[in-house]
Amino acid sequence: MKAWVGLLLLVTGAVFVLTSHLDVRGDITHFLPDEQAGTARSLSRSLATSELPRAMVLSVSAETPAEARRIARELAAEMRANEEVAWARTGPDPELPAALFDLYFPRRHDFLCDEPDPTPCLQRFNEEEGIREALRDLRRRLALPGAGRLAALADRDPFQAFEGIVARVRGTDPGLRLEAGQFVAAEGPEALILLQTHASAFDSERQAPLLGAIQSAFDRESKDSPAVLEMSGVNRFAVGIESRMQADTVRIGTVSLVGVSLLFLIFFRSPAVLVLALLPGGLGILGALLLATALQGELDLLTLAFGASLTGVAIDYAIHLIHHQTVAGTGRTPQQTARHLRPSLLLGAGTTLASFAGLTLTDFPGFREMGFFAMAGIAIAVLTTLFVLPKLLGEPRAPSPWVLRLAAGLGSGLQKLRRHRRGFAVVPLLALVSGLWAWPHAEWSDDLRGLSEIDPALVAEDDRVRARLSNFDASRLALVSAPDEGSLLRANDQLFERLQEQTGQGVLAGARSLHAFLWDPERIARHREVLNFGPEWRKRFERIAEEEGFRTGAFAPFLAEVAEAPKPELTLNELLASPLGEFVRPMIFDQGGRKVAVTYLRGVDAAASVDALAAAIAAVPGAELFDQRALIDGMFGEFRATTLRQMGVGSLLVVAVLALRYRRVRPTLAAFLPSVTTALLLLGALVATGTAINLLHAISLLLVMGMGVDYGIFLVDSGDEDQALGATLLSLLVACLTTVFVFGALALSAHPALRAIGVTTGLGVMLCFVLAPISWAAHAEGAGPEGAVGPGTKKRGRSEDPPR
Amino acid sequence: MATVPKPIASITLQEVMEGLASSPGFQAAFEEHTERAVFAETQVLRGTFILAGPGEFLRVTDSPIRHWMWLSGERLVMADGNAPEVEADREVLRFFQEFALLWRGDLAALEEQYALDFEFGYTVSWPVVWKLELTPRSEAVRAAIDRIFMIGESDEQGIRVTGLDLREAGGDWIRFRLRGPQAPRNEASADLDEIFKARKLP
Repeated sequence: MKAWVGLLLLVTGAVFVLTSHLDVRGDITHFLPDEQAGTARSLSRSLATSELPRAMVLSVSAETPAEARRIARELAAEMRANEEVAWARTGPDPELPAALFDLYFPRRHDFLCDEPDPTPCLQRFNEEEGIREALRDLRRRLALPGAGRLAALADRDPFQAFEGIVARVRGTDPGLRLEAGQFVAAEGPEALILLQTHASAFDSERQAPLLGAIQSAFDRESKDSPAVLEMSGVNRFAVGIESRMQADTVRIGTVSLVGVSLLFLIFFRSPAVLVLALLPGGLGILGALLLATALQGELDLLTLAFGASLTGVAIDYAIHLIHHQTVAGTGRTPQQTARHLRPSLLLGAGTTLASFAGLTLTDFPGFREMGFFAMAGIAIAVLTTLFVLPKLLGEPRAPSPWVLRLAAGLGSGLQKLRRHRRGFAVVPLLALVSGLWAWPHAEWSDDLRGLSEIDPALVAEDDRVRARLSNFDASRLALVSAPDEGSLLRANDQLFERLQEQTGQGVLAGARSLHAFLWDPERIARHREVLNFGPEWRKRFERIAEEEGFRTGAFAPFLAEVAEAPKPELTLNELLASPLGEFVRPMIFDQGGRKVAVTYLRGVDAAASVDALAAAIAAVPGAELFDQRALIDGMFGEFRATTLRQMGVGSLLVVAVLALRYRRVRPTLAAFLPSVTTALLLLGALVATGTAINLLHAISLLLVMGMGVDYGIFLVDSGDEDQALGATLLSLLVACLTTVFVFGALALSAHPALRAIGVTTGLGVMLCFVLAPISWAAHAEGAGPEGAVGPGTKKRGRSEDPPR
Repeated sequence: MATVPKPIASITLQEVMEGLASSPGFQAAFEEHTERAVFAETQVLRGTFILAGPGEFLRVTDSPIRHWMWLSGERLVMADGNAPEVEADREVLRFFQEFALLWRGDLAALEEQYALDFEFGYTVSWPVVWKLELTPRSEAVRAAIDRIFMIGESDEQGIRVTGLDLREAGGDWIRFRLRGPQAPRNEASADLDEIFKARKLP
């Protein structure tokens, strides 16, 4: 009773700490590589956490375009008042032209010649012929239609330097069409709203209410109109996936709970035993959660879901203990039974820890978190089984006679197969053949999109809305990195020139580069050195202007301005701090002490174009083409390969641990055989059924191998005594069925990722149980001469107390 | 003997808009006077203007410089002399789309973007002359254009636009005048038709 009270207090305290301190996040970016993983790889994480995925596009259509625009205006006004919305725009920002003017006009002559070597171009402006040519061009352009903007500044900017800056900056805009000053679809009557949220697109807890608020505001504004709202945004997919997963969780949880409860009622006739069996796993999860809270204060939802499935592994330890206490009939106290099983259970847990250790060595913070969480959970669960559970077991109700008969039947049934034990060798050989055949025929799939079940209607809506914009592709970028700001801007200028060449050759349609906003400081300094607007030059300019048909004194403001001391050169920091900073920030990243400039590309579709572009970009030192989709697929492929390698390395590690424990070849191999046989057969089954093997299959195989080794160890350690063997086989059967209910229930998921884990693990664990006797057969052969054993023999040597 | 004045003819804005909306398009010579503060003298351009339909026109300048511009829906391309054609930026495109809107006869669309002031003049002889003054409602547009004046005439032949005056925000004036007869679009000269065909216009 004391133990129960202590436990209750402990759990209550832990729950209190967790509810007040643990922050559970649903952030997929946690499963992208961390910042130490190299420029392009870690950029996918930087992009995912940047402002880009926080952008949304809302499209409103109504009976008339004017009505659509009205609703869009009202909706945007409502959304601006929502605290989750950073900004919402229905048209160009009216403040931006003034901000552009204030920042660049005083420095317009720093950006006069956009050429790698600007000197010859700049010298033209110092010479008579060059000035005359520039003024003739101005006069001609001022006479042509559409020269309003130029005319407004002609008396201050006769060389049209600011016009050049404006043209470059305009080249970076997404090219939205305007109707009555509002954004409208490229080819259609829909009014558009561009919106950015404060929260990450993957923060479903904040994004779900925001999406609801947008819909409600739209319903209010369009109540008398048959208008339609369509949306595009990463947040919608994140919220959609999470709500489906939550629905899944309820369904799967119910199936698991009902299945496991029935199983325990059938085998143990007591719901209390179920509570006891779940205790190690529960405390394991609680302990891992407390550890996560203490170390990082937050945990990913996927890690939590994965961690919860650990109950399926940890429950095996409790079942094994309970069965040996109730079925084996040894007359031991629970503490004695625990002591007796300690080597097996510690060895089983140790091999499982070895299986998960590989997860902690990847570049993916999310998988590392899963690995640490699983290891902590398993360690706590096995310690609970050995030291807490026996105190709570008391005198469990005696099992039903049919359970005892089943255990005896399983034990004696296996004994009857003793004379055919050599036949068991066929199974690992078959598995080996299956594995050898499957490996070269396996189809590997690393397409991340295949792992997420996304509502097709949502995808279609997103595509429709995106088609209404003519935007840059955020998944294909040109990157250039350098150790400092100056060399970055220099390299970025070179990259821009390359991209201009590629645009000229039709390889891409456009590039949105930092070059539009800022150049290499040396190029700017060159402008200041070469341009000479001294008194003599000003007199000459006035004379030429009159000769070219301009009014006397027409350029007095220009001449007065160039006579003044120039404003200091524009710096990146000043640019970032200005209202234009919001356009520039997504183009600059800090990456492990280096600065990275990002150029967004448009219209790179054909594979040949991608190759040509990649080659052209790579010619610039420090530059590379970033193809996010290919990169992510590549990363997941790499992770899958790492996982499979980890299975190999982990297997060797497991064998080493087993060898250390048993110090003999036969029991070592015997304990290991079911897991490796299962993995090979599963691989063969996946390939034979035409299943493309992905990262999650690989992780599931790892899990199955971890459990398979446990089964092997338990059988090898149970020895030859009928009752002990029967108890072990029964505990393996219950453990197997429990795992099928816990893991196999994932096969019911609507989410392909969980389904892949469920099917592989469910099938795998059943195979582990069916193949577990291989351990016994391989081990039993060494336990005594073949002819010396037979059915009904009570003692056939003891191997259940292996060396410690 | 004193001349007896004819009765004063009248016309409404609605009638002007309906007349423009039903126009099949036309081709006419134009003359454009640009008065800028920086110019010593007014610049005069001459050429041919073809209105091909709603939101579509071609303007070819022959003298004293060679230049053409063509607006078709969401595209505005221009070429200076023999230089290759270039696509206009969004701001210039928007300006000319609004210019094209004036010819469409869509009163509701015009009212959404401009404050309108319509007046007609009475003369002692036909045709009736009219003037529509448009003041941009949008602050952004007003930063570039202060006023637009559309002028035209009406007689038994129908309603015709004869000129557009634009006063820019800086005070400069552009006065665009259509001269001579306005041939219906299907009577466009062969060389301009060639330009249209080359650009796959209907």
